[in-house]
Order: sequence, then C-alpha cells, then structure tokens
Amino acid sequence: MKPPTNPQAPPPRPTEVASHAVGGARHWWWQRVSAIALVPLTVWFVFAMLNHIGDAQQNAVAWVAQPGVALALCAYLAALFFHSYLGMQVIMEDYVSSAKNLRITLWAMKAVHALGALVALGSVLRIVMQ
Amino acid sequence: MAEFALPAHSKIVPGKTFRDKTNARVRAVRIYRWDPDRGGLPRLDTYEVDLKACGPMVLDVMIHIKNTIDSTLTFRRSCREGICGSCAMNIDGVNTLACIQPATEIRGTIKIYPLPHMAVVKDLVSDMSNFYAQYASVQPWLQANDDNTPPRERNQSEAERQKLDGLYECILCACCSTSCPSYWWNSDRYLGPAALLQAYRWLADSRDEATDERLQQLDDSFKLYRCHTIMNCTKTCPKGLNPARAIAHIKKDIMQRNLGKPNAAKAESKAKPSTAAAKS
Repeated sequence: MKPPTNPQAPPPRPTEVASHAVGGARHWWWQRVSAIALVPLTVWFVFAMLNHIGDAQQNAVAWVAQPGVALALCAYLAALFFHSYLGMQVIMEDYVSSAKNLRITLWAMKAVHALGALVALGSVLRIVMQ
Repeated sequence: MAEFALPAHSKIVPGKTFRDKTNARVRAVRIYRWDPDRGGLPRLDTYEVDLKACGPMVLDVMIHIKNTIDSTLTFRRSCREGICGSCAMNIDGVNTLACIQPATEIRGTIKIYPLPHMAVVKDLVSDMSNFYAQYASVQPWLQANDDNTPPRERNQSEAERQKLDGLYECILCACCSTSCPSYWWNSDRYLGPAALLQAYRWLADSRDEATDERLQQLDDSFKLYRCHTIMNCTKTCPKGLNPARAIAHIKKDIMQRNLGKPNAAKAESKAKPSTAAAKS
C-alpha cells in the first residue's frame, strides 16, 4: 500500500548516512551496554586512583601489572572509549546536518577514539609485558 | 558552516500597540505577526484587551481581538474545545491549544507565538506539510493480511482495546513535535514524537498484522533514534498524552524483534485467536 502523498511536501529525506556506523537499534543497545558496564568500572577506577594519590611511580606501575587489575583496567578503557565514541556520534548526527561533513566528522571522531584507545590499552599492556 | 545567530529575516521587531480607549482594566496581549504580502521582518503587536469583555480562553481573547480590534490577525481555529488541534500555538512560552488555555491562568502580558521552528505561512499559521508527510510515512491505517479477512468486523478484547488508550486520543496538533529540540534540528529526517506516537498506536493494535514491517521501517538512527528522552513532548501535550513512553515502547519492541522474541503487545492476542472468533 502506498501512503497518500501531499503534493506540497517532499517526504522525509532518506537517511543516507544512517548506516554509516553502528546505526539504529544496535547503536542504542551498545550505548546502554557500555553505560551499564561503566558504572561499576568507573566507581572502581575512581577509588583505585584515590588510593594511589601521592604514591610512588613504581608502586603504581606494580599495581597496574597485576593481572586482575590490568584486565579490569583494559575493560574500563575499552568501554570508556567505545561509549565515548557512541556518544560523540549521536552529538555529531544531531548537529552536523550535511551528509558529507557528517561522514568526515564521524571518520575523524573514530580515528581520534581509536588512537586514544590504542595508546591507553597499549600502555597497560606494555606495563604488563615488562 | 555553523549558524549561531537567527537568519536575518527571522529577527523580530517591535510592532504596533493597540490602546484600549475605554477605562476598563486591561491585559496586554503580545502577538507575533508576519504578513507574506508585506514581507519585511516579523513584528510583535500589542493589544490591550478587557478580559471581562471576552470568553475565558486565550482563543476567545484572540477572536475578540480579530472581531473588535484588528481583523488582519490570522490564526487557525475550529472546534474551540480541544479536539481538532487547529489552534496549536506557543502561549506564554508553552506549546498548547489556545482554546483550552485559560487566559486568567497567565500572569502579566499574554505572549503568543506560532509553533516553534516551523515555517510561518502568516502570523500564527505555520506550514504543516512536512509534519503531515511524516504522519503519512508511518502508514497510519490498519494493515492486515487479506487472506485472514474475517466475514464481519475484527473483534478486540477489552484488554486489547485498552492498549490503545493514551494513543488514539492524539489529535495531531503538533505541540509535542515542535517542542522537541531533536525535531528542531533534524525535522527533515527525525519523525518526531507525534508521528512516532501514531506509529506505536498501530504497533499496539491487536488487529494490525504489519508489526514486523513497521518496526523494520522505524529501526533507523534518524527516524526514531534522534529521540534522546528530553520529554518536552510529554510535558507540553495539551491532551495529557505521553509520546515519550510510546517511543520507548517502540525501541523496546525493535530490540525484542532483533533478539527474535515475540512482540509482547501482540503475543496475547495471537495466542488465543479462538476467543475473538467465538464471540462473533
């Protein structure tokens, strides 16, 4: 069945950029999953950091090098950068209206987050490997 | 690229003031005016009105102004009892229906603007073409498989009918959609709370069999997921409906569809088709 058309009005613009990244329901789902994961991880991270205020560098490094801590830290950083990218994507989709600019912005956003995650996770792994 | 100021033709300038010649106690009514034939910038005209001389609602005050002070004032109105949705406008900073907003509930000057972020046709009349096109795009009619057409009407149980309460009352006045920041920024692609509430009205209908197609249509980061639960829609609805909840239900239904679970709203009716048949 075809909807009746109003000759004066163009139908809503097709969402040409919608499928660019994680779109629609998947995006919504992963935003919530990462948010829920971040609740305990952030609380743990903040308390751990408070514990290490004024601590010597080698103590902090030794703390990170413990397998359990390194694993939790990796989970925290991965969830953090992933959630941050998903959130920035929403903001960009809201405010950047040209499809071309949006593609460029999202690509840049992805690159920045990938780089950040790479550096952060790499640092943890480097400490663990030592 | 980015626009931070209003477009030049949208700046509002002060307009005429229509003083009350009698010695009655008057209220100032400030109304947005723009005439496409005269062009120029929109202006704010002020009318001094004796509220005792007109009916209780803002619409009565406006009709009084049009009849006795300034016949050029242009606005849509029809039923004067909140069922047609024609007189939706921004009164005292809130989108509502002029016909069910008591003038005496507003303190000080009564400020009346057209619905926010809609193209103005004239004065308080906004262009609703895109809004109606979006309504049409959700296919707001019963869609059922022709093979299952019952010989008589399609029966609903009381429980199934109750699922439409809070949905069918929508009069498409556009107060909710035009109060939504997401709709302001992306009304060309985001369907907006009104159209989405209507979409859910058909998703929740036990007689409709196009649930899957409807959900598939809506699973789109712009059509549906521009809703960031700001809740302006629910706050402003002059009929007291909750479009934000309808949108949340759509998101939930899409999630369940993607996870391969049966639709909760429909499961009940599909499980016992014999009940409806037995009644008829």
